[in-house]
Amino acid sequence: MKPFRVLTIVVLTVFFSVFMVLPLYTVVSQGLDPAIIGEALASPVYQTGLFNAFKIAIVTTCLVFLISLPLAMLYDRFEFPGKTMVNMLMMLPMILPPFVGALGFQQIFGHYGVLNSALQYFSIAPVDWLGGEGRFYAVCLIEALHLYPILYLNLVTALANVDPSLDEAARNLGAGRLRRFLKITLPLIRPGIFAGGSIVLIWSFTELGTPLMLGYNTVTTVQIFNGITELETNPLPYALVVIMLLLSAGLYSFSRLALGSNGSAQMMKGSTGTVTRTLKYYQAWLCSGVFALITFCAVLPHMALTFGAFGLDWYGSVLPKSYTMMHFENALSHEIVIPSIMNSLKYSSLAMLVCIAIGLPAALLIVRWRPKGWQLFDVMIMMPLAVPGIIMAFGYLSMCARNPWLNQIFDPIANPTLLLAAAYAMRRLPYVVRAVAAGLEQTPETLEEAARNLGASSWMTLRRIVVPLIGANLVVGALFAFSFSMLEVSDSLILAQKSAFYPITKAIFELSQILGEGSYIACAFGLWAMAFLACTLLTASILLGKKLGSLFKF
Amino acid sequence: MVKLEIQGISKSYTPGQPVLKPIDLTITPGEFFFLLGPSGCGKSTLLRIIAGFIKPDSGSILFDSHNVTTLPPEKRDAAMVFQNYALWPHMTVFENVAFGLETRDIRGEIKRNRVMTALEMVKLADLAERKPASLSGGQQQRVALARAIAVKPKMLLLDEPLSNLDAKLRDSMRFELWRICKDSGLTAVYVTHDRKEALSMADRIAVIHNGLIEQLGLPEDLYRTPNSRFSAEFLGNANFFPATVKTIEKDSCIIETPFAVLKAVIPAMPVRPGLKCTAMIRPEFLSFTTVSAGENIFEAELHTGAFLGEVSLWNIIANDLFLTLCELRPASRKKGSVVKIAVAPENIVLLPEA
Repeated sequence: MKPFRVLTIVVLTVFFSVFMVLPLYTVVSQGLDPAIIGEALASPVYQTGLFNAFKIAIVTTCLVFLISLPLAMLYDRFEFPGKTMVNMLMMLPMILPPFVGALGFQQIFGHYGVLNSALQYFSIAPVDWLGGEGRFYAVCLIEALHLYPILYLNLVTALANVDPSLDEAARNLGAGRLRRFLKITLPLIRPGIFAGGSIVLIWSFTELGTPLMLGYNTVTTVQIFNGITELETNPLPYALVVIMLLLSAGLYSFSRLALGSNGSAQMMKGSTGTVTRTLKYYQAWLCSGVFALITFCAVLPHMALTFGAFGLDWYGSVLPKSYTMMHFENALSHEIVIPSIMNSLKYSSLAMLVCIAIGLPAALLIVRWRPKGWQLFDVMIMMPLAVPGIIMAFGYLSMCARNPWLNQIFDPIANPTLLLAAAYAMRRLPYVVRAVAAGLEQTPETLEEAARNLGASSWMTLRRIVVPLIGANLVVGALFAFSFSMLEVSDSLILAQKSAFYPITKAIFELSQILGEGSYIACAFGLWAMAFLACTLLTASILLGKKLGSLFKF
Repeated sequence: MVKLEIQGISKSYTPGQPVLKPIDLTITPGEFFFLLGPSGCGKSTLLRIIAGFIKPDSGSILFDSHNVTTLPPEKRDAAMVFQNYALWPHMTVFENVAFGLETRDIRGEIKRNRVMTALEMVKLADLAERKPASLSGGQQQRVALARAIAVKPKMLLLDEPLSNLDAKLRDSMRFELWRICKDSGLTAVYVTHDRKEALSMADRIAVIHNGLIEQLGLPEDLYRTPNSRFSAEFLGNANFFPATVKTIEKDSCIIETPFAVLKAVIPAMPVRPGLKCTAMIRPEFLSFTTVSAGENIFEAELHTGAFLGEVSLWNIIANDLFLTLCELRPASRKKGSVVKIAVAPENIVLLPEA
């Protein structure tokens, strides 16, 4: 085997051993004690936490389905005004981490927020929207409005791959609309449902930021987060992490079992593409209206965040009473803000470099070289999507705590730079590999063979042929790695423990906890983060076009 | 110009299902050699083994008696023209053609001259600054050829280079491709499933079937005297019918067929009186005759016909056996009429019984 391929395999093996296997092993070895797990499961507080986490996952996933499936069907089947812009609009909810969206959400549904102010204007008594069960539904709604694009993009891709003649054949045999949908379309798009649905299910099951920000504390992720401070004396957080890991694996396996067969997808190769129907004038506008309404709801937190960032005295009124740039000035002058931006830039740049340095050879390995056992690497690379962020973050912490030699290099308390960069890189590696692999799969291998045939070495072929041809995919992968790292939540909240090392997300969280001006400064800071991620997604969307959805797949 | 020797090359992708059974073949310097066969017969695998993209399970590839079997593709100097042309879309025509020269450290004016010479050879010098996407299929094919010949390789490998072109362009490109290869004086190995391409351009053809060379020879010999039913059918339309050898003369034999006793030349395979075999006559070697009786003349009924312009294809029935006859300069004939048919002994080929 060629030296570069051997080096790739060695680097991948070491990287995954240290930053995936070892943290998981440490957590599992600490927490996989039947007595401790039994104690955790017997505790009514933790029982409620787990039950709530499940409830959030189920309700969020159902909401996501209710939003995404009709939208994807409308997009696939009909022509309507503004259709070309729809996929770009669908990405809007993703430009804000849901926990920052929670800030905006509180401005709308808070006791003295927009909605209650509007009700009072019509002399209707205010409602405690976020009180009692309201807080639970707020968490679900925020997460659903953030996550539905993932399922939507997968469904649109899956529907586009269904040969229209399959539906026509059923119609030709007398099947009605509902029957065709249930018997033909739904089974054929099952892989797409699984790909998107399982991400949403596990993401919402293990989401930390949103419940934390909304103060919904009786949920396992927040309980783990709160348990970190007493890690040395209390083994229960370990047990909770193991329980969460096992349940996540169970949820993933269950959804794979129920939806994951890709037999139908195999049969659909060579399909002729979707045939869209032209609707009557009012029906077409109705379609556009549905998309506009959902997008409006999804960007409501973003709008509220924007008003919060610019608003002055936004309390008990529908809109702020006046506008100011003061919050941005205050944000910039706050002692943790500038360092946090610099920290995030540092961590994310490092993570991006690691992602590209590892992601490109990894994609070549699984798409082109395919040595014996390449499937193992393929699974490993996709693992970070299936293993919840909070579990990984917790794993890194305990890995350093239990291995002094690792603690010397990655000590999260002394300086978490390397650990955060590696953790960010690990979390974003699947996106980079997916993006690069998609580029390689779309590039005929004969283009590389032609170069080799004319005397080019492997390195020259990579430099002169492969990299220029998949340049857009590499840029998109790098952009994703960088920008999602900038707004990474779980690792940032858990691993950055000293204010000098806070990244942006932890700084936003800390600012939001400050009474008085704190939430406005956090809004201003969040707005900056939102604009940053918007630019990234816009660039990626332009570079990748319709293939953007392929990044959000298992 | 190099001599190519293929010695005992075999390849299996799945155990027990060989794509290539041990193959031996020698291609002489400057020869325009064709590997002809249906899809999946192993011809492209053999070409890619020669290029170095696939490692054979056994055997050796020799360029001028130098064993290159373990050499990677970039060290073999056997330039390939790919079926999909494999032009790099991010480079101009000039850059595509110059790439191979740059890998050989040929730069500056010499590189420029070599590129332009190659492009002039394929009549595309004017399009040097264009990107491949703005060229027609035929132009792309010629750029791919220019890219391959610009490096002055030891050998040219062509993998169905005309298969992506429409029929008319394919016809016109055949001669051009042949001319360029011959002008360059290269040893060329050309893979195709198109018999017309092979028959019209090849110096020699190897017919590949199920991973083995079914027949090797000059195009005309292969067409006129195939050694198997597969070769006969693959190289053109043919009438097959059972025959029994009755007597053997000095350079001919008498055979009994369902519709007549015919005289045929002695075939390459061993024959003896009483041997049951399959006889083959190409439709164009059957002809209408006004002579009522004589050697190799038999009676048949005109069943159906298809007028194709320069020729007509007739289905005739001779003693319940359907035969096809191809008539040059077609005459007006009445379906259902009884006609006399003639065939020359040298145009009857005896093949092993199917």
